[in-house]
Amino acid sequence: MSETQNSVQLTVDGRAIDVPSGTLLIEACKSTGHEVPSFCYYPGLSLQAACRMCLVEIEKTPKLQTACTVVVQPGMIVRTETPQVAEARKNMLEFLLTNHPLDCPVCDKGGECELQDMVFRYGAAESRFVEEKEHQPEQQFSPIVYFDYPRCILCFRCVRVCDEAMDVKALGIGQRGVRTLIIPNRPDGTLECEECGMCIDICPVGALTSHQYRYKTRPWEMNYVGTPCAHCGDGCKTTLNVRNNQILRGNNRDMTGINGEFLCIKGRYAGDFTHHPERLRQPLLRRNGQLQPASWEEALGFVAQHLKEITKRSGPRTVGFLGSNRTTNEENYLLARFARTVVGTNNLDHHRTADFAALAGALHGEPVRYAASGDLSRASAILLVGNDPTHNHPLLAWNIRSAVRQHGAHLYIINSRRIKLRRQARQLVEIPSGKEAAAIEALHGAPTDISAATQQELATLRAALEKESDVIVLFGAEVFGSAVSRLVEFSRQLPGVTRYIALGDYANSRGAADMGLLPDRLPGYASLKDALTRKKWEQVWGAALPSEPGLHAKQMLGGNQLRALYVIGSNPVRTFGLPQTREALGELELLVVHELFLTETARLADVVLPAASAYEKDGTFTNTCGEVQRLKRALDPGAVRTDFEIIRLLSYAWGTPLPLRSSEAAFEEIRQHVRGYRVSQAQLVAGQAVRCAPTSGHAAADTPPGLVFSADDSLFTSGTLGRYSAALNSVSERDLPRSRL
Amino acid sequence: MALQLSPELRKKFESLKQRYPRQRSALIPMLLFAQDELGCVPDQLVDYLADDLDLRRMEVEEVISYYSMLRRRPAGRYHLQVCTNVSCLLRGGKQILDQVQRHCGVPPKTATDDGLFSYEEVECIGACTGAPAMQVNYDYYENLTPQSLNELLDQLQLGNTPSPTRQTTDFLKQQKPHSAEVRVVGRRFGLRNSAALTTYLKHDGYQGLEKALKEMTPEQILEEVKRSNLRGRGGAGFPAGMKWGFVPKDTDKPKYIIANADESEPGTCKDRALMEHDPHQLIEGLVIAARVVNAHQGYIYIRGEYRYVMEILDRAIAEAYERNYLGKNILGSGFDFDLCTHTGAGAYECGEESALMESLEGKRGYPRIRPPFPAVVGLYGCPTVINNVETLSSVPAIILKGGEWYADLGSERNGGTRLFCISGHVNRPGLYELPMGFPLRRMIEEVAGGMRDGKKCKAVIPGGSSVPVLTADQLDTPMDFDSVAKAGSMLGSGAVIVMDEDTCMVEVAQRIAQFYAHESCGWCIPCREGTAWLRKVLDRFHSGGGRTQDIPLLKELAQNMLGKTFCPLGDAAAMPIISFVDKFRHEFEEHLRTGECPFSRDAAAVATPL
Amino acid sequence: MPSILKEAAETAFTLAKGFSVTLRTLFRPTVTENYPDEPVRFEARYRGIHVLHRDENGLEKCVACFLCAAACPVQCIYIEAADNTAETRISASERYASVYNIDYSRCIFCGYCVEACPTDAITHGHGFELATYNIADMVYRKEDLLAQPLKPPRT
Repeated sequence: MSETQNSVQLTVDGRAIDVPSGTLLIEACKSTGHEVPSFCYYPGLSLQAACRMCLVEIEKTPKLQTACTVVVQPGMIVRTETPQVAEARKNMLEFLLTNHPLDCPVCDKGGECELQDMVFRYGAAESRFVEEKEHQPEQQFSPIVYFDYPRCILCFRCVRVCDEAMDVKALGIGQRGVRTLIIPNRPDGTLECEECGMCIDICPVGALTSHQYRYKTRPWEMNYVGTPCAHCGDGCKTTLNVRNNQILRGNNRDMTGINGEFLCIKGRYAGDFTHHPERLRQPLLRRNGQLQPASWEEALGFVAQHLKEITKRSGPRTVGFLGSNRTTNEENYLLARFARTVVGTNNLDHHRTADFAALAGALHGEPVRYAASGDLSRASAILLVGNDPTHNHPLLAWNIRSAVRQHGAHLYIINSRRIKLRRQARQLVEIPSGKEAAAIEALHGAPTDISAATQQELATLRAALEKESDVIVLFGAEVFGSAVSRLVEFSRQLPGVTRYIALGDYANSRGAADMGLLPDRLPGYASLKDALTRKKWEQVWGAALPSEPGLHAKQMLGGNQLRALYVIGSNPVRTFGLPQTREALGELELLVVHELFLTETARLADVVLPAASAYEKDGTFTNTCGEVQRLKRALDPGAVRTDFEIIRLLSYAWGTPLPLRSSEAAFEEIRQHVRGYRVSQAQLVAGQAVRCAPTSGHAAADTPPGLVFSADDSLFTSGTLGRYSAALNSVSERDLPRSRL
Repeated sequence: MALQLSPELRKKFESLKQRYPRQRSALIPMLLFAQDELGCVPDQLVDYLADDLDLRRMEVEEVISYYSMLRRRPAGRYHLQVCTNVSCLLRGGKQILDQVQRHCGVPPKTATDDGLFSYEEVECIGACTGAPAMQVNYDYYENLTPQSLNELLDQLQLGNTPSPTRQTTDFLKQQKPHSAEVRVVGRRFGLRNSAALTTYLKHDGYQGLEKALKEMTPEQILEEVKRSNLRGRGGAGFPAGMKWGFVPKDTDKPKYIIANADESEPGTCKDRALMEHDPHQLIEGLVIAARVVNAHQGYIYIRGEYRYVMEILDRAIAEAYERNYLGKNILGSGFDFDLCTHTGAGAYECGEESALMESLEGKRGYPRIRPPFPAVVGLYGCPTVINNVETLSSVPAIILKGGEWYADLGSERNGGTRLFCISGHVNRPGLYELPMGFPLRRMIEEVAGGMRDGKKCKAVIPGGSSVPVLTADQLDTPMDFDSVAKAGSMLGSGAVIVMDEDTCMVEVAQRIAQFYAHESCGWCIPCREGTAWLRKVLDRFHSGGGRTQDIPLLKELAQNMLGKTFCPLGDAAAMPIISFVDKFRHEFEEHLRTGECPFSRDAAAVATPL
Repeated sequence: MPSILKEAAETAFTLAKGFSVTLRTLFRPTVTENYPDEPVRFEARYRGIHVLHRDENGLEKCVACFLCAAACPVQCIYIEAADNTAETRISASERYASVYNIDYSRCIFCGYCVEACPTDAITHGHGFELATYNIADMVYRKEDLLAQPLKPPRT
């Protein structure tokens, strides 16, 4: 093979290989099947050459060289399997084992320990060291992180990942020589950080371990299920480690998800809400003013009977549905179909955490304009309006930081808070809270009511953007309604192909909107008002559709127009800040709630139906960027039912059974008929993320204020689910102001 | 309790921050000066400095715990730092330590109840030819005897601070040069007020600079230096001219010159004398070097223990500025150059050029991955020339008298003269400037007055503790880089440590291992674990707990470290041990046979653990 | 006549020869152990019901390392580990087995678990009386397997 400008030919262990120029020798070897061990070398982190495990022979150099710092040169002759190299590896391990304790039986890392693996492969199991080892007792750095000094091999991966990749720098290096140790950032010996657990998973040995997994079990005793995380809208794949039908921890040993190797505290440790003792396991029916356990037959029968009766008596316009940000696409789709065709109402909404409908409208005809999360890490310029990705979208924040750190991307921020990402930003324009739409007008050069100084800064920002080659625009819930189309209008003029991400809070916030849990939209943002669209869906669903747009969430709650309210996976009393009384919800005769826990809303209900969580069912989620992923069931839900089943059974009890019997069937229908969702089944089934791109061709209606708002969760809160996670509740950073980070 | 900093200190902080393009570089000097005033580094100071320099608190914490001189708890009013490294060990350093310990009656680094004293066993403080020596705070007291130590301690007890006895450097003021000496860098030693500019100017001071600026191009200066065969005097012996030639010409980045005055190689005390007695010569050398590579900022990184020397340098720099030998448009040539000192805080590894730059940037002194080398990517990522003090001090004479002249003074490919620090069991330990290639035997027998007390010579370390030891039958080695290398050792820093027949080679090996274990930065596995392991084995071995397999084990461990470490410190730790085991195996075996050290003296002093 | 005697003698001889082994065996000491009327004698290495041992301080040796469960070819060992606290110390190390079950309906008494144990906590004892009418009873818990607490020294 001839050498092009971009490839280099060299010989490794007698075999000629061809790699792109600029490749590190260690990567070149690994990618062509030659194993070169390393501890301190880690892709994506700065080079160290400290562990000396990757020493190899290179012809014409007298000493062994570390493969991690050598860039391939044409004609290089490398040997990785000579006796000298084997001896060097063994020596390094022997040195390492002088102070490393014989802790394997009691160390949590046993079975997944890189040091164990290396010693098996390269020797030095018998030590000649008879002196006293350096020792210090184990420390608990935080409710999540334990540190055991003797086990630490000082590869400094944790220090680098916390500093470079996470930009937190909570772990540092103290002392000198053989007494060197990892030190936490608080003077009292504890950590103040994002508790993401990256340090724990990146640690090759058992020096950093987690409290959640401590002493629980061994790696070979668990089942591993890779599934999208149930918490925020980033859609990271977390590999849930399950034993005895209980989630012990999550990690990303898989690394095939869109998140690569990133995972935050929620993906790792906040799966424990699934086994919280207060988890609802039985349907509850209000009898004599008290919620009491009932059977599924009783409960469903009650709901069907009363719901049907109210619909008949007071009309479908008095029945309202509030969907969820954390139910699957199939469940949302089924709910929309049930509400519209069985009950016959368009009173359908959910807590909208981003104005996806407005974006879909603004992007009409240009589906390629949605950016995927991976696009962010390769971006050359990023504009962020509102939101606080460090807290609300940790994966996207990680991708932004990677782009800045590794590719020199330019980050521009317009925000009413000094968010942590300002540290990576080329320019931060601070605006008063609530003035995001005004700021966008200022970008257009149109008159606004923000200060002249800020307008000047925005003009500078605009000028800088115009020099970029292409921009990815992210915006939070602060930008909604017509402001979204104005933002898109502005960004369209920028050079290159501008792409967009609307930042919605939860695991399936996007899916809720995409599947039409909106009073004026059918699935795929199809407009209700359009007769042709309505006809198409009437054909698909085999039923007539009401043509008048329904009530939105705020109208449904406390507008006193409803007699029956059906709430799925949502806590509107708390979310919309209502008093915790039944009266505050209007003159409801029937309140039904699907939930995992007895939330404030569930407490007021007539019927509470225990639902399965995302980790206990199949279906698909769409992340905030529009990447669809299949859920994989990790736990057996036991007596609880999935929302899909409940709705389906309800339709049976109603007497108008919905023909979709499984979420697969529902998804097939979605694929066929929902615009933008004709995605590859094969890829989905293989566990990959596939991009959907619904656009609507309808300008964003002026969404009334108060409908689109972010829950602004921090790293340590996650709506209802987060309240029942022991891990999230245990960390001290929860109570600290966000500006501390 | 709020932090109380004096206005002078605050002013000093401000002036320190001005010296560097990046404020963070001021961190270590600020810490040390603050410690001088406060007695230690309290938590509030950590917060203060983090805030002042816009650093995370963690970044300040990391730095403090790396450097030996910085402490978190207060010491006594007189902190007694007793050196027990090889040169001092050979002349009773352990007994001095023992005496100090008995006087204080508290564990090391702890203040006595009256707050007057504290002590610690330290590594080489650069007083090797005045051994045994110790520092009281920053003052040197050398040539100690049990009586003189007692007197000193009594005086301190009364609150008097006796004048420092700096035998190492006073030697040069008081003694006439030995007839074999050829004084080039040392030609002004012994002049009255030798450090003053007026004296300097009277003895062809700054004439080399004038010639370089006015009559030569930078290329010509470089040629002259190359012609001189001047090789690095810090230890590695790399040709200085070649190093300067690596600096890229076409770059927008600013360039820097650094004088490596971190002199911490055990047995070495020459840079101290050069800076103390002839600071302007160093300054002149720096400016000339800067001219060659077009650098406009220079730093003299000087080890923290050499505080009084730094003060002399600061005064000389001020004088040079006044008379326009530094600053803008030097001598009307249009060439600008700024220079200032920068203090270290106790770390041998910071003498390694890339670790020095890390330290200068205000971080832990870890070495850097090379390539790229400092000449291309150095201080703040910019091209940097970094040379030893003696190397730079040799430059003015080379320019004035010509490279060929300088080269001829020495041997082939080893140009000029160098300062040798002869210490140990000789009659006249001291600093002597001799031509390269001067035979070792003559050095010991003639120049240094022969073996003390008529004893026989057993072994000689020719270039500092990092080099393999030579036996008595290798004394006919010419002392230049190439010849010593051929003899199986290295010329290194020119520290000649002579050991007589009563020296226990195992004890010397142990002390050397102790040094490297203490100074290892901890970055790479083989050095970090290997130096500690070597030390622990030798500790046990020397105190009678040795086993037969320990002898081959020591050699094997050292060989396993050799060539595999991140920086040469690992090699520096390994090579001497290998040479001791190879050449003095019989002494190791004797320890095993008798179960104790056959040379043991009575005072078994406290060996400070790692 | 003599032929009858000869025949009788021959018969007697043949009988004696035929029964020689029987007769010889008749007078040998018996090897049969009359279990359950007599206790059973085992060699030291007999692999019976497991015992979880204690160390010389009376603390449990088992540190719940899971190696026995990993080594077991039939996966009959179930373990849950827990932390030793300052107040309650069960084992000598950082952790101990809070749950330790062996399912004897699966155990094949191969001894791999004993080989795998790094702390010599588990060995085979000589117990063999496992028979029961209820298979659920065949899951032995830690209390069933743990060696007796050490007796305090006689003063």
